[in-house]
Amino acid sequence: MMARSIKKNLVFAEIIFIGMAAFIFCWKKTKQVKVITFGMFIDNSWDSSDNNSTKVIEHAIKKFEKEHPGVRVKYESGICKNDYSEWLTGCFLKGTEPDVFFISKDDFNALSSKGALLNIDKLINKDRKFKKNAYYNSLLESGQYKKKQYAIPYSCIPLLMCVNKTLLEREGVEIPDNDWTWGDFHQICRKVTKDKDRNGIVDQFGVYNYTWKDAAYSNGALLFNEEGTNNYVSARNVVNAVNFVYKINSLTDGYNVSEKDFEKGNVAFSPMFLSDYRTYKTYPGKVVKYTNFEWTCISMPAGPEGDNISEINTLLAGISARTQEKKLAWEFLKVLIYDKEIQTEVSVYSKGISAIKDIVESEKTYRLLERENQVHVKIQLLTDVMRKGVTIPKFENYDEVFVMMNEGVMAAMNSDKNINVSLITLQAYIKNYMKNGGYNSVNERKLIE
Amino acid sequence: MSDNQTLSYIRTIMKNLNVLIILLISLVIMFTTYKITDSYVSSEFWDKIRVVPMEPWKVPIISIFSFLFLLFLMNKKEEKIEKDFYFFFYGTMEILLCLNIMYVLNFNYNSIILLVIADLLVCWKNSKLRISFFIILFMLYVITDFTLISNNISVIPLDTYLTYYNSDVRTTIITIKSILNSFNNLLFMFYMVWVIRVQILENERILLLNSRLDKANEKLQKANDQLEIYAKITDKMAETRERNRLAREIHDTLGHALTGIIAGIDACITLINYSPVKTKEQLQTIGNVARNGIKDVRRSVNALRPDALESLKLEDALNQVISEMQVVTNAKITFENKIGELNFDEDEEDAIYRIVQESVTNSIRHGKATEIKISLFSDLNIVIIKIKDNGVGCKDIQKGFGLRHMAERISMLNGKLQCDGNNGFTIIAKIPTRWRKK
Repeated sequence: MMARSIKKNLVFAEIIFIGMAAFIFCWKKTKQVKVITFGMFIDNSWDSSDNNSTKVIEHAIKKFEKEHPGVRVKYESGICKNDYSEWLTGCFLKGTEPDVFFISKDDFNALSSKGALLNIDKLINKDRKFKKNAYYNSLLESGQYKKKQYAIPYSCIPLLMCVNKTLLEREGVEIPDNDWTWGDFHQICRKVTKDKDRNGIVDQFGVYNYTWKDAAYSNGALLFNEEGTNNYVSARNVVNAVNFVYKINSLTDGYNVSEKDFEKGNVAFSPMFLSDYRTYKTYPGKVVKYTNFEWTCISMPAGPEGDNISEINTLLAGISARTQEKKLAWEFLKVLIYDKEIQTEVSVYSKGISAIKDIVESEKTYRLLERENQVHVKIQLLTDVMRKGVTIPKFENYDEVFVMMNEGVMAAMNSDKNINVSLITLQAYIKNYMKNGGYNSVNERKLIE
Repeated sequence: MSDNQTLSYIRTIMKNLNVLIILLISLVIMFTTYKITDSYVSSEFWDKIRVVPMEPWKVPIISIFSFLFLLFLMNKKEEKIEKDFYFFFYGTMEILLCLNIMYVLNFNYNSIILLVIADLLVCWKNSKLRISFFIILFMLYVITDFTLISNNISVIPLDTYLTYYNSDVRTTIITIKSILNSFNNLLFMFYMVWVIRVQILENERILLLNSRLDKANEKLQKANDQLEIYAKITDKMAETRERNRLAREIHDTLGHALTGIIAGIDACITLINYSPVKTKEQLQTIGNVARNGIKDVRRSVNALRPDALESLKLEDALNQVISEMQVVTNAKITFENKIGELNFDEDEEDAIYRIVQESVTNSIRHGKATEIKISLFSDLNIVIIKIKDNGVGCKDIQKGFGLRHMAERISMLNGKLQCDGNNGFTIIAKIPTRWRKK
């Protein structure tokens, strides 16, 4: 009796479920208008240039909707940059992630390693209109994980060297060329570091915020292998870079140069991202900073084993692995990252610059830039920087490992021990950590400390 | 309650338990995910996992739907599947559904395989396919163990979801899950023990039946042996009875006459000196007695003659015995008479009849012959009887009662008997006759 009633209930439940499935299927089919969702953030800094970047997106959407009638693009506006990561991961957990979305450099590793992103190699290969070599190769690589393309840069923000023109002129130093070296850099720093008011304390400095990482990149160093299983912190070019930074820092007699010193106009150089440069340059009236001196940007100084290489941050755009509309998503992504008009607008209105060679190296871009924003950037500078630039490696726990490495290098620079020896120990320690997927025994930790 | 009913009850309990466990895990996964996203700790959770989880609302729906389909298959399946193909079909479907459920639940639960094993065990048969199927199932159970899986495939452990809660809630959920899980495993063990018990009982019953059969066979053998002994005894008794009859016959007839003759002759010896006339009379009487005696002897011998010869002529009697044998044994017997009209004395007829009868009996009984040829012909005044069969023959001829009897009969008539055991069995008897043609 009991078994029979259970059987009846089962059949009943089955009918309900099949009915529900059929209903959902039909309901989805009847929806005529196809919708592509897009995930983006607005910069939450105080300036209003983000309105411009939203403008670019809106233009891209209009263009796409015009090319694909019957398709609408929806996006959630008002997500701040700081909340974007939380919002996007939340979407992935809930399964409500957008079809196409921006990926900040911090999220790309996690997203691609967890399989959240669609491998777009097939779409790229099928699409005859899309040419991979239109992009700077190193920038395109920033959207790759394990040699597979998961995302493509929407805009790039290279690191430049900001120069205090006023200070250099006062000291009778010419502004260095874009192919300057560590030697020039050190020489100028030594020359400008002095006690201006003769109160016994050094109050004019060579550089602020120049890190060993910046030096290492410009010395041709590679900090990690691609798989994220090894590091090269004790390689010769890294050791030389660390020693060089140590040498530069020691010019100040142990004084820690602060941002205030730079703002006051007492520092000759400071590395600065293109976005900051453009922010400060575009709206000088609003910016309290840097008003008492003239300044410009040049490339990073080249190390003896490297070149004028600087780090480039990229804002990537990718497609969700779970998207229902692969083709449309790709078409929309293409409008965002490949369309000449849109990408020129990106370079002109947003704080970054396109990753497409033709746009970076075209006079038109700079003319527009100057006309719209009164920003004067030398074409040669950006062309060089973009060609030579490197992007950060991309393995899953990069941030964690880099913090550990940075702490280790800083400790090595501050201790009395031989830097070379310290770095060799550090390399072994970090390698072990990376191999074990993030676990080091307590004993080893003690050994390092 | 029969054993099969017990097993089916255990399976039902297991099914219900599995529904509970799947509901528990899938609902925990779904609600925890929503809670995590609602309380803005997604990034923290995101860092702990190595793969994008499935849409949370899909987890309970897919897992429960798959499980219901699994139950549907289990109920629809016939009690015992005879054809290997159907077994393979249902087995594969059930395994696939199982894997689907486990995948959706992030391999946090794999004891559902035990349910499938318990269900398929009903269709156990000693065939290679089915045995390998069960081996695969057990291997799957081992492979899908969470700790083993999580080392090779990126899955999200339930514990990661549970880190969202405080330790009280976490412990409660884990406890409920492990209690249900252990209970399910325990039930499976009990199920297996019960299956083994049923098997043992079955074996015992078979053994019991076997021993009974053995006993019955033994009894039958004994009865058979006894029967053979009885048959021998009966034979002996018949022989004795025949001998006694003969003795009585001789005693009654010949004995009676001879006693009379001896007494008469004794009287004659004393009487001859006194009255030769009376002696003459007496001798006349003795002569009568002797003649009567002879008559009695003739009558006795006649009584011993075969019935067939009593009433029929020799040839007809032979034909009769041959056709009777053919009917009884299905052997093909041919009779060829080259002499023509047979006209023998009674004792000669007897001998011929008996030889034919005995030979045919021997051919069928000992030689297992299917074809027997009998021919009768003469050479001067010698009658030759040849009986040839296609039976197994006999290489080393040992004369039994039948053959010796035949030989004796023929030698009494001054004849000869030859036997040949190669190429079947051949008997040739030659009898000199007091041949006369009418």
